[in-house]
Amino acid sequence: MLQPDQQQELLDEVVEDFTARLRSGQHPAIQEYANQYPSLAEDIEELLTSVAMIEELKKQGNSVSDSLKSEMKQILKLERIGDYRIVRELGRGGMGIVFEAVHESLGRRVAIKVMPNRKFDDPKYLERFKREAQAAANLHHTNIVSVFGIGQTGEHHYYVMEFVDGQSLSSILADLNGMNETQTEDKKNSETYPGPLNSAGPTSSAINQLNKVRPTDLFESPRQRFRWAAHVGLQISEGLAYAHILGTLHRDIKPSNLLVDKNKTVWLTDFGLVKNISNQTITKTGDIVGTPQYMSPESFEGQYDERSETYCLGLTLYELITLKPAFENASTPELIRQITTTSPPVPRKIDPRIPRDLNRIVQKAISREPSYRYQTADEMGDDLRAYLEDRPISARKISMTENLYRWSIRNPLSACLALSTALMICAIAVGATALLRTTNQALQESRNQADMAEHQNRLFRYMKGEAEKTTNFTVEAFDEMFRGLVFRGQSSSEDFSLDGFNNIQVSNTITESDAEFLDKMLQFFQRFAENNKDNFTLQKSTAKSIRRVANIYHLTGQFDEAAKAYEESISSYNNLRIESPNSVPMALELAKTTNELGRVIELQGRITGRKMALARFRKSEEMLRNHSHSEDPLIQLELAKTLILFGSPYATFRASLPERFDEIRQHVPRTWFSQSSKLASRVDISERESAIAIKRLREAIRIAQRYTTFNIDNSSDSVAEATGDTVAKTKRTENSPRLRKQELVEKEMHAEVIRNEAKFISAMATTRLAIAQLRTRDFFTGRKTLIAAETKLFQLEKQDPNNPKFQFVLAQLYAMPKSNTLKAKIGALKKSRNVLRSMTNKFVGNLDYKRAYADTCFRLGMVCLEDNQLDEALTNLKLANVAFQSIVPLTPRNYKIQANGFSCHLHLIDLLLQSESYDDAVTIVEKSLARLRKGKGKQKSRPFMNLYNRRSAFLQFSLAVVYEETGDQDASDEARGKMMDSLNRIPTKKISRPRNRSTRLQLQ
Amino acid sequence: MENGLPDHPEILRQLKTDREEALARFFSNVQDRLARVVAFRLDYRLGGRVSESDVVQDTFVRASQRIDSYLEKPDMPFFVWLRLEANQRLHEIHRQHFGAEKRDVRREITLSQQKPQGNQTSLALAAHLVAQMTSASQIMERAEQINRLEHTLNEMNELDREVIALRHFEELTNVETAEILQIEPAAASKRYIRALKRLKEIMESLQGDGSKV
Repeated sequence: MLQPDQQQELLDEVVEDFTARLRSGQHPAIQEYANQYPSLAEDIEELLTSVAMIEELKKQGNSVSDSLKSEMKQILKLERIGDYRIVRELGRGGMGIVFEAVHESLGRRVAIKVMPNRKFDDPKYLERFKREAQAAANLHHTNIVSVFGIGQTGEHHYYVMEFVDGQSLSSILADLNGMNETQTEDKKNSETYPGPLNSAGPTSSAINQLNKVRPTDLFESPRQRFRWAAHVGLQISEGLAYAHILGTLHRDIKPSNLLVDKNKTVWLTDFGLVKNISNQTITKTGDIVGTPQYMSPESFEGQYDERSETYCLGLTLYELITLKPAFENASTPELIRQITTTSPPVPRKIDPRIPRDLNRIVQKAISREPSYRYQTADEMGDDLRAYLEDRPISARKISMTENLYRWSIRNPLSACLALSTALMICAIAVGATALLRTTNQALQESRNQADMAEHQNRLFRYMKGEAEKTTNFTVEAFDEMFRGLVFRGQSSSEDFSLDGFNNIQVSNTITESDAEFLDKMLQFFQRFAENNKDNFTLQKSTAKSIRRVANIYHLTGQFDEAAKAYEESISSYNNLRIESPNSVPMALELAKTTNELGRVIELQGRITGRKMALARFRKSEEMLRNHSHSEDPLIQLELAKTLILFGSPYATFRASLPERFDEIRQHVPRTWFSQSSKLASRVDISERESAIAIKRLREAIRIAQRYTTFNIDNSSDSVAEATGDTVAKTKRTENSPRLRKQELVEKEMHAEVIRNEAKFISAMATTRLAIAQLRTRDFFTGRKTLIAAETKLFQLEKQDPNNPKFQFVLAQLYAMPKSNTLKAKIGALKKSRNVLRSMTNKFVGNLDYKRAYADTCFRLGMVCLEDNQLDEALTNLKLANVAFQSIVPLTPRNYKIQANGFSCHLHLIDLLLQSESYDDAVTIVEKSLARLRKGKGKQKSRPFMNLYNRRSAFLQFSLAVVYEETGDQDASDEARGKMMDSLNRIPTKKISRPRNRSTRLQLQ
Repeated sequence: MENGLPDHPEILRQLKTDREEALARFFSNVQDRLARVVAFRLDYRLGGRVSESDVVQDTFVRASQRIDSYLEKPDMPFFVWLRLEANQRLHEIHRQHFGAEKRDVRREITLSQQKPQGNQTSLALAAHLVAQMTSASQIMERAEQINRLEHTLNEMNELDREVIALRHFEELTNVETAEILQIEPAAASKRYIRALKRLKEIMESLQGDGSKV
């Protein structure tokens, strides 16, 4: 018997011998060894089987790449393929080598792609390749590289393509990225097939063309680059759209498959050919696929259609504008995880210079969910074209609800993660000073995702461990963050209900990244409210959370949702007030929420909105007056704000209505006067209303003025309490001198906040008073008030020069004429228009500014008309028309914008008719009709249809007039016919009209 | 010698007389073996991004810079030294690509005097045992397999696992293996036999799993 040691040694020798023979390519029989050492037979069998298995597996992996390598070497040696003389290598990709060649009998330059034979070791794939090549050969398009034919040389299959003298997008990208620093996709692919060790450096990188397009020649500024990118995208989408119509998919859109020639024409290459084969064969032989970097999420589930192609095009565009791949720097499984579960950073976050519209186009194209993308390449092309021509694009920012829905459905995990980050931020923010500045910093930090993971665990523990106390605290902290975000730390005043003079949302300061963050906050507040609705001790926080939900909707212009949430919050507060009817903070919260609800109702833009809103304001006024005996500054200031709400420009605007009716009367068929007379009867009411408004505004100024000099001595404990500051509340119970000092500092800060708030409210009320007085033709006092308001606003602006709010208010103020002459009116409106124009240019996406600008241009145009300055009028009406066109589709439910927009339109048409620019008039009318039809969509409600029919009747009437003037009687009759059709569709009851149809046609 | 190299004293003699040329000559003799080492140790996640021949080339550059210090103190066989240099280069590459996260994990067994950190070898082993990269749609699946296998391999003793890797995937002899692991050849052999048995069990369980390997 052998000793164990000797046994061991012997076994090792056997194994070594067996392994060596295996590696040298022999097939030694295990039994042989077992027979030779019968005493070890069992061990030997076991071990050698194991060894054989390992070596076999290892060989499988190696042999694939070894044979491929040798085959690639073989291909590289080719000098001629049939009638084609090979000139040089153009590039190397995962699927073969591309050569430049000359077709000798025709003398033309071509590109030939030669593929290793082993790609076709199954005849099925060869057949498929041939079929695809046929399909590709049928594609003839400016942006598609033509396929001339396929063939076989020796073992290798090849296909012949048009030669494009240019450079691939991936190499342009590499150039733009400062050469070689970034790994381009080409490089990665080529490295799958490393050249021989001693070769003189890499022979393949990007396609090395002689006539390289220098990216620096392409554009001098980033702006040009963005336009260029859009132009590239447009060409690709055109090529794709064409191919899709013919039923061919490209299947592998990525920068390295897109060539740009000297004329900046973009070429799609490798249509449908390569990916089809590669997918199949690779599975079988186990070859390394380059990288899934440019694959669409659904393709991992075997889904692939046109929308996958627009997605891939989106990824390419993404890279062109950000100069970064959307997904990168990760292992393959990680990449797949990212592609299927995450979205790349918003392009504008990477480079804020990227135009918003382009950003949106890319964002829409790369939506993870195919149904949210462009459904066809054509659609995407349309938007790119619109962007290039500075027209509005169809891809709007994905609505918040949609976002939220997707977010919560798809990322339950990251939802938790985001929540925990947010919690971490509050911990930091509150822990530090609970001041807004810190909060803002923390917000910044939160975007730095790196910290996230580290704190995550701690936070979860933190959250679990603490009970309701912490939860309340958390809501407070979130609240603080929210205010920090929304008001940019300018003042902690919550002027949701006082956002200037306009009636749309406070969109001024909300950027896209903010919107994203708001999404997450919304989620938090919603979840909080949902989870705790039955917990009485948390009800206050719950009510507040719901209010914040409403605020977020409010901010992002989702007024219906906002109104609903406000109502809900109010009912929560009302429940709480049953318990403690005398609580000042509660009354304050309730009043604020009620006012906000009132504002939202107004913003919804319904005809009865103002009336409903007034009811809310009255309610909160009453409540605040009940508490006003406490002389609490916050209550008082809220009261002042409420009073201002009564005096909103809308109230005083009605006073100037009769004048407008005279104008309207000139253009509107007599049959529609019933409407105007109804409105005219309201003028009395509005005069009374404005008198009341002026009284209230005066009171508001008085109250606010009192607190502009508010200081610490007057500050009572209730201030601290009313501000809802838990820090102040808890500290008050302790008496150490240090804490008392801190308390003093805090009180001083509150006082400061109150003084600023009071100044703002005072300025606001004064401005509104000035407007109200000027509107009611009280020019003497109006002018004086105006100067006072101007002074106050200037002071505020000086204090906070970066806040566009004051400028906006000033612009509104300037618009008011200081006397009742046309000259004064024109001067005032021009001044206002100029301020607004520069603001519109500065804050491009801001609806408020744009709307104010549109309104002002409109009014200016009208006044010029009155003053017989026809040219000036035409210019301004055109400006207004353009501005309205861009906001009208965005605010489909805002009655006032729609009405003003349409009215502006009518006046423009009228003016064009007057100045005999019939062609222009027809164009505009037809455009307008088209838009009207488009806007109709699926709406069917009675009031809407009435409005629709009335408008289309009016437009047809305009057409009829134009055609009559130009002598085209047939067209005129047709338009009249259509007008009648529209009129007939309006129910008779709603509008009184003469029975005789012919009289109705006597319009002017 | 089976390595395609002369014996140790002869190597040293030649290197001392005409350094550059001798190094190039020896290097080209063991180039394929080194490529195997690199191919095995190169993180499968870098597949397609870093090629093994690049690493081998880098190793040559590295070796010619450091040959002086090796000759001053030639306390290990020439090939083992080259392998060490290759591993150092790999270490740098992995650090570049995976950042700090991998810094410690990448340490070579004999470099750290502390307990070897096994999961790197397991990962490499697992990646190879589950065969080369398949199509993109199977990469996920494969990653999962690798994970599972890696997990099982992690249950093996670290040295055992390393022995398998060195002998089969780097194709080293028992003597070299022992040298690298700084144990006696007999002990290395014993571990090898034991590890083979254990590995077979693992492979069988995996194959029974749906024969996806």
